[in-house]
Amino acid sequence: MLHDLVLTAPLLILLFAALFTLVVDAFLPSSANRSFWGYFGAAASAASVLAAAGLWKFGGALEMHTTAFSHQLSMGPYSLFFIALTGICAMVTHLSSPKYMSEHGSGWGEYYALLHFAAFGMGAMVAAESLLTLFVGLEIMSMAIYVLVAIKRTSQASVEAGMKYFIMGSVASAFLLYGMAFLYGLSGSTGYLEISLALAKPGVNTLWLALAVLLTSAAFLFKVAAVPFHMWTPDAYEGAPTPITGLMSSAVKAAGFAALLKFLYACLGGPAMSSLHAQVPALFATIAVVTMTVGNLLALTQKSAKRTLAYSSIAHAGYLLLGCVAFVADPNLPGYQQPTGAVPFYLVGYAFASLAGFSALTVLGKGGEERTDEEQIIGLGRNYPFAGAVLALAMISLAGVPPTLGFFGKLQLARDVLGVEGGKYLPYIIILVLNSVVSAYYYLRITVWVYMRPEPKQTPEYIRETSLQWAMGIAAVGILLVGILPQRALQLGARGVASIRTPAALQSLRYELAKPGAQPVAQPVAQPVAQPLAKAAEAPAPVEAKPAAEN
Amino acid sequence: MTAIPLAHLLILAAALFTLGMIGVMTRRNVLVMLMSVEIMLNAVNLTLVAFSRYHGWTEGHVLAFFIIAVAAAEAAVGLAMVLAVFRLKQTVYVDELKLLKR
Amino acid sequence: MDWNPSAFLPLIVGMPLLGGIINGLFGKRFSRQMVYFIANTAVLTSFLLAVMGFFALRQATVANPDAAFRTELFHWIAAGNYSFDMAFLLDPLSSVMIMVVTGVGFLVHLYSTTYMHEDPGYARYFAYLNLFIFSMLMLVLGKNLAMLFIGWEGVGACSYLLIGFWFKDMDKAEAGQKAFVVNRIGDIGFVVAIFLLLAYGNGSVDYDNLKMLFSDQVHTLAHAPTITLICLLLFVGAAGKSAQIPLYVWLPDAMAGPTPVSALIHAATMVTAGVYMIARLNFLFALSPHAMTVVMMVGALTAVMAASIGLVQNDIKKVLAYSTVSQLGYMFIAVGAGAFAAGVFHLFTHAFFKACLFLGAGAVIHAMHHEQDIRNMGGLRKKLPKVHATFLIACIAIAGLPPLAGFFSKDAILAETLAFHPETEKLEKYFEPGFERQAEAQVATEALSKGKTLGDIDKKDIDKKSAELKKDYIESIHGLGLFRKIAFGLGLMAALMTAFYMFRLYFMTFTGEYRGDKHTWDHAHDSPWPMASALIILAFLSVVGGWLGMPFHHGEWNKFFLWLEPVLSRGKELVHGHLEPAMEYGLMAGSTLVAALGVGLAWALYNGGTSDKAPQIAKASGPIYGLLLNKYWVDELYFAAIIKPLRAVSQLLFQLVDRFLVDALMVRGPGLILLGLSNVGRVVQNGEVQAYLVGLIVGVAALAWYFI
Repeated sequence: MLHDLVLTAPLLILLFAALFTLVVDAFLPSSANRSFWGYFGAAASAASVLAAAGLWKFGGALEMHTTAFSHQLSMGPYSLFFIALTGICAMVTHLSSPKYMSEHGSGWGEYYALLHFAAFGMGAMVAAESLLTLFVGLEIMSMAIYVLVAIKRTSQASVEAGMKYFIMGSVASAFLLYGMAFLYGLSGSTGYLEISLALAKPGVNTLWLALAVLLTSAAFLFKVAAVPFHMWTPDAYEGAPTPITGLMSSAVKAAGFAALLKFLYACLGGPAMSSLHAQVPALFATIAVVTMTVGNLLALTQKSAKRTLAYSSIAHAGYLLLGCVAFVADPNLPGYQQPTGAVPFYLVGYAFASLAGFSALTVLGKGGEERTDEEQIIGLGRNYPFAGAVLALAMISLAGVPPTLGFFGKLQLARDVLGVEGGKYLPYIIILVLNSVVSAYYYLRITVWVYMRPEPKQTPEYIRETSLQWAMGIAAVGILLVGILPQRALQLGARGVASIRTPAALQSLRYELAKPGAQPVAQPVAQPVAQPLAKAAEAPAPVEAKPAAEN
Repeated sequence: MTAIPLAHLLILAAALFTLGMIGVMTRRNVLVMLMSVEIMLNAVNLTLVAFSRYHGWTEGHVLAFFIIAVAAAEAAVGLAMVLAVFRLKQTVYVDELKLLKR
Repeated sequence: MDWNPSAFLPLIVGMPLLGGIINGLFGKRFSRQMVYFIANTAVLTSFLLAVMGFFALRQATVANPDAAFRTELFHWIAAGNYSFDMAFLLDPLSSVMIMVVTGVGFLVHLYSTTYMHEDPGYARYFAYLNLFIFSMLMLVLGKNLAMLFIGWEGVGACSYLLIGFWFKDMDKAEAGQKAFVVNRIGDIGFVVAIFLLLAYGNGSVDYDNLKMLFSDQVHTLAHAPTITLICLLLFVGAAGKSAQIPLYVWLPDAMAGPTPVSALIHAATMVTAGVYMIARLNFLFALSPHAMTVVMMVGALTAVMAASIGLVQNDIKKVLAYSTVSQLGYMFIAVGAGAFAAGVFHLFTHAFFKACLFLGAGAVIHAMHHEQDIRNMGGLRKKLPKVHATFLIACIAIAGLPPLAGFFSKDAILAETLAFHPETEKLEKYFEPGFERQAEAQVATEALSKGKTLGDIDKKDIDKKSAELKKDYIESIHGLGLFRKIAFGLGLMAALMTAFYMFRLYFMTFTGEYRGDKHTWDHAHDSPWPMASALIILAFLSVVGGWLGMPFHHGEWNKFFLWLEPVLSRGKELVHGHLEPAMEYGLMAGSTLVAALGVGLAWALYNGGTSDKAPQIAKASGPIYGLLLNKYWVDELYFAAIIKPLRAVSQLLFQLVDRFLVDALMVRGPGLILLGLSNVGRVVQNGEVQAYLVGLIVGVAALAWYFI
């Protein structure tokens, strides 16, 4: 039990922070200034990130197992990587919130508590080792986000966005559950391991498997905003308070992709899918290119920067989905290469860039209004140079100009995807390059608004606040660090991916567990199980373990 | 007591799920849409329980309980949002929520 | 000197970066002198270090001709089976390039201190200019294609910033955007080529690695068509950056930027990046005579087309811009013909005289209070003697009259274009295994389609097929010989036009009677010394720069070509030729004659500033004159053929997806089906959320249709 509690400390910290916030806030006088919750929240998120870092670093030395609570959660490198990433996103969101939320009349304690719950849910869904925890984690995250989107109760846009997102989201949840029910029917279990083993047996009912895969994929595709499940995205992003939009495009997207990858790889991957293998990668690749194309083309005609970034997040979901192709490819075909850390790596870069972008747009939310159109952004570079520079940096990074992450991130994705079936997906890579070229246009346009337009006559007012500046600063430093020294983040991501129990590793692991009287396989955190079983030659050298948190 | 064949239960569940889906797509009243989502979730529950009973498994029951609990939470959030919408716009019809578009 | 310059290679690149950052961050708080001092010192230091590097390298090459200095800063990224390093390479080619970049760069900085004196944005201007030098140095000094690409994008970004420097003017901001968009089109090709080379080069695009890989006598993996594809994709990138057909349209518009910027970026350095890249990858391009021919022909056509447009332009900067495009075309003729050294040589000399011309034009514009139309000038010889003298020298140089710089580089290009030919035997041998595999595959496919098994295949059939493929390949290469003659002819034509329009420009600007308004004339004054000294140094270099590449004495006097030899050896191994001395002198006489003819024509028509004959000729040539004046209507064509449809598609997609698909199809369509299903006479719903929901369900249905 103690083992479980220590292992899940990064999540428990968030949970307790949420409950603490809720309880204490109830006893504060209603006139009290609640900005301190932002700092408290950031501190709690940072504590969670540090706990994840500590586990990564010292978990191996303590010879702990990576799974907790009867194999419901696994806290291996993969989970820790994403818990740290979502933790940093939550931290930046906490810091960028206080002044904005009180300007918009919603800076109550429950806002911060909900942020903690959302972060907790993300962590749980990434760490999930069974359909049950996946579902519960996903719902905890989603419900917190629904409420956060609608939290500006006096704003029609906010409430409407929350309502739409909620209805769509609950239908998507129903699809997910129905798919899970079929997986359960095929395997008799809800654990990833058991399901993948059951699916590996010959004679699996293909129709049911297809139904299960399509229903669950649809739900995940909804969460990560892939076409044609994307339509909630622009509305929800626009209506939500800007800090929450930042959280949605960074942490929620990262958690969605992380859970999707793990689900595809650990639960469905391997020989199990061989009956569907011909179709699934091509399907993902097709959805990916359609998603990036639609996202980019629609972003071209947007007038508000916030909505432009919403469509841009759809486009980035497309790029990332293409990276997922490597995770569903048939490993038995010649020319297969194991996926590296491309997707986690790209997610880190995208998370920092969109956090920077949205926290810079938060500056424009003075007086309870959302003012992110061209006229309001013009002159930002002159009147609030720091915010202007952060916004420009974010746009440059999103556009994929080489010194920042975009170029290497896409190159990594391309490399992973080209490792599938001997480069069958080269045309898709070319479409990706074309898309990133198109996208540069609207990113550049925002930069032009910031710096290169004659100033308006009256200077608009901005939210100037210390904690918001911290938020922008952290995000900007993140972009620069990961851009200049991508190596570290890439290695960490690759180690994370290597630690997901790969289909090949599953068999042996299962048998050792099943031996009567055998001790559960000790899985030191720092030594991913899959590693020796995967290509030993390619295993990354034991680098000093230091999670993304400290980058 | 003769056992009900698995297929019958699954078909019933599928029918319920489809019904819920149609409901959520066609009804304008948010409250009715929420109820339709509940029907979809319960169809899933039925599927899970049917598999468990037919094969003598247990985990499906557990998952079903969790779904029931989460559905309750979802209903709470949903109703709170309906209230918020109603306060602002005096309506519970989703087709009157068209401020955000394009 | 036995010190190793490896240690200060990063410093060469770093100084301008430092200067740029300091001026960018704190420039507003500094005095003007401080800003000038920082910017100039940064570039001057780089230049001095570059010269030191050159001498050290020369020392080293005495002992070992292949010597080069390499510095590795850090592994940028290494993952799976590929890696990029932050590393620099100083070899003969890059040493020439960095001296041109920092040298001309420093002169332009010096010139700008006076030119931009009245501009309030001087700190920003110098920061951008320093950052440009930094990016350009990254481009030429990088040790791998990834570094080149980073520099490539960096110079692009600085160029857009500087074109749009006076952003308060909407036209100028648009010009920046146009440059951006056109360059991105080129970048697509470049990026895909880098991806392909990564696959070929076992995960490394390091020059040393690539050169080793493509320098074997036999290559087991390479297919001739693949190499051609990679080369063509790289050329698409080069055409974007170096303004070749069909991507040249951005360069004339880029003249919206400050004139010193045009001199540095859009004449001397950035636009030559494509030429540098091809020269750098000569070992790759030389393997594909087909791609080389495309490069050569595009270059030749660009040279003639741009020169012909230049004949009738009246804006002093536009004439120079089209002249630049035309001269870049010349460089591409050279590298396409396999005359890599000649191409780099022309790049080298062109940097001097074109920078001199642009700075001279800047001095004229400065003196004339931003008047750029040469019809309103004339007689400036009297007012601007220093500018006049240097401009005249540069004009002679670009026209190709001996013994100035342009003559030698142009002559080398024309001669080698005619004389060189690809070494087919070596190519044949190189691709031998490739042909065999291709033959094997074809024979196997044929056999299988006839119902035989793979065991039935006769080895002889494969050999026969392979020989056939080889024969076709060789014949197709021989067929390319004709294009060299065409390119040579076009090159001569372009030389004639160049001499003509340059001297038209000169005569109309500096000779005859002044035609503008009196007030401007009274206030016109010669350039102050910082400007003039830059002009004089560049004019001096335009005179003597060509002497480094004397074609006499069996090439032994040709220091420039000998210096580059180690870098270009593989290219030379695959494409070379020999020209008889008599033929060579004949060519020299011919090209001198052509240049003199062009100058003479210009003198006949425009001496004295105006002429009655010129309009008559224009009238007589009728539609041709209109065609040239309107630049072949290329901009309008692109607008109608590309931009308009693109906008329409975006609009259409918006209409289609949002209005039609969501509102109409998704809501009403399935709504009708559901109507039957639910069997209720219900009014079709039209709420937004439900439209989205229908989208979701349609998506699921599509997935289901795909799977089942």
